[in-house]
Amino acid sequence: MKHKAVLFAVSFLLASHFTFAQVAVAYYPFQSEISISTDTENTVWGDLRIQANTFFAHMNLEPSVMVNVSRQTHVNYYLGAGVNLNFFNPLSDLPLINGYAFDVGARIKPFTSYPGVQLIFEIAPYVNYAFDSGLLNARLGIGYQF
Amino acid sequence: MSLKKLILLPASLLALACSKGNVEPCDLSSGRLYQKVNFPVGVAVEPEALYNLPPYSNIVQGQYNSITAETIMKPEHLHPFEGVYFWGEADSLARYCEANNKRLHGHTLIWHQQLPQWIINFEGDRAAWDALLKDHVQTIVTHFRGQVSGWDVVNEAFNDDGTMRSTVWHEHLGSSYIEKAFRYAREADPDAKLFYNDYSLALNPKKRRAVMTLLTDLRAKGVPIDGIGMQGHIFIGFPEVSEFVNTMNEIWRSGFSVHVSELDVSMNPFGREMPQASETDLNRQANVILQIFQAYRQVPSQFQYGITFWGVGDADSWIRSYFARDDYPLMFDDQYRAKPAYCKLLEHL
Repeated sequence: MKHKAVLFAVSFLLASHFTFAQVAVAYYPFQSEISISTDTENTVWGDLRIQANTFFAHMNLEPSVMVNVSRQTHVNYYLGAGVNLNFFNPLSDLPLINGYAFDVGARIKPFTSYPGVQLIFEIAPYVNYAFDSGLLNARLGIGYQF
Repeated sequence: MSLKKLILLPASLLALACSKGNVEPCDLSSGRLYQKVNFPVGVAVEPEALYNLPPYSNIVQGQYNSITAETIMKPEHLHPFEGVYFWGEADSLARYCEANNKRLHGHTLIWHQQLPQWIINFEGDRAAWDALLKDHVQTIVTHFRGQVSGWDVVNEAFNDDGTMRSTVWHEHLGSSYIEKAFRYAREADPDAKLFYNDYSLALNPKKRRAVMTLLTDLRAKGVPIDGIGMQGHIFIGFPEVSEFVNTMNEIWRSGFSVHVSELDVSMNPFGREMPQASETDLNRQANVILQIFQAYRQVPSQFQYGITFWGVGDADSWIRSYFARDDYPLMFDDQYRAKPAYCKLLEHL
């Protein structure tokens, strides 16, 4: 079980590399999260949040699928859902999945001359894997769509 | 990202997520918990049980290398009347610790609860209250100098909304009582580590922000605050372990030692009828405690003061009497048998 988890982690990370044709990156300083996304201008795009500024073994990952419900010149509105997990957990017989996240967000493109620059606001309810507790995360981030 | 990958990815994750996580049973002969890590592992004790209840004392003796007195070093016990200090029980505990090579942590000098009536009713001006504070702190700290490794100098000074709690100390001395208490303690014992201790620091960002701001400001002006005690009265469902770890990280990154000072992991926050703990809840409790230990082990050693459990067995927990509810928050059950949390620590640390 442990070996499968590590193998899957490596495979996932490698597959992710080849999956992202056009990439956006973002940093959420108040949650200490960085994210790597596929093209955020697509109707459906993928997002991977990585917990930063913490121990390697506590580097939780949160892959999500996002859907742009509105795309405008200066702002995209999106909804999404994802799972928060930690691939190191199974090595200690801990649950792989920490919980589930939902996202309601806006990616604002404030500079007409630099449409890649994005200011991100998100409201992100989160529920733990047992569905008996949760958080309401509010995120402010800055990103760039390459 | 193709649709196929979008479907396959979560399906794979769900398959991997199904971890039964059941823990192999163990007993107390399986090992010594404090020997599994490089930081002190402690327990809050009641001397009556420590000296008279063999299963209780066996666990304390064999599993922990740090002791906190759950009640007998609180203000109403040590300083019951004006001008009168009662050292007997605490001195016995100090001798026990010395004889058994256990660290003794002092809890607590300044608190709004378990105060003797004479302090609550004390009448005097600001100078008189300052003198009272100084005498109380310095007499106690001086008495235990060389025996107590660290003190919870001030306990629970903040409300949940981040404001300063209204206590007799705050009422008569303003917020300066916190700074004064730490300075007086340092004068009395230059070697003891001095802590601010509080609850819900991981669960409550607003409170945490208020605590960190004040303590950082105080230390910047030279107030001798060595560390912060995260009490760790938590539940199997909340706070998220990541929030707990983030809080530990914030504390040591701000230059304070981290003491998880009163750890217990409740199963029954809403007070349901719960005649026994379920296997699921026991395993969840084990997971939470293991994750906290694993994270704490990675805190730089100069900032590690240790992890202390608030009680030995479930029957000893303050939670049952204080909240009048069924609960099973500790690592040993009512008969002092090892629970999955203990076994999982031994297995994975």
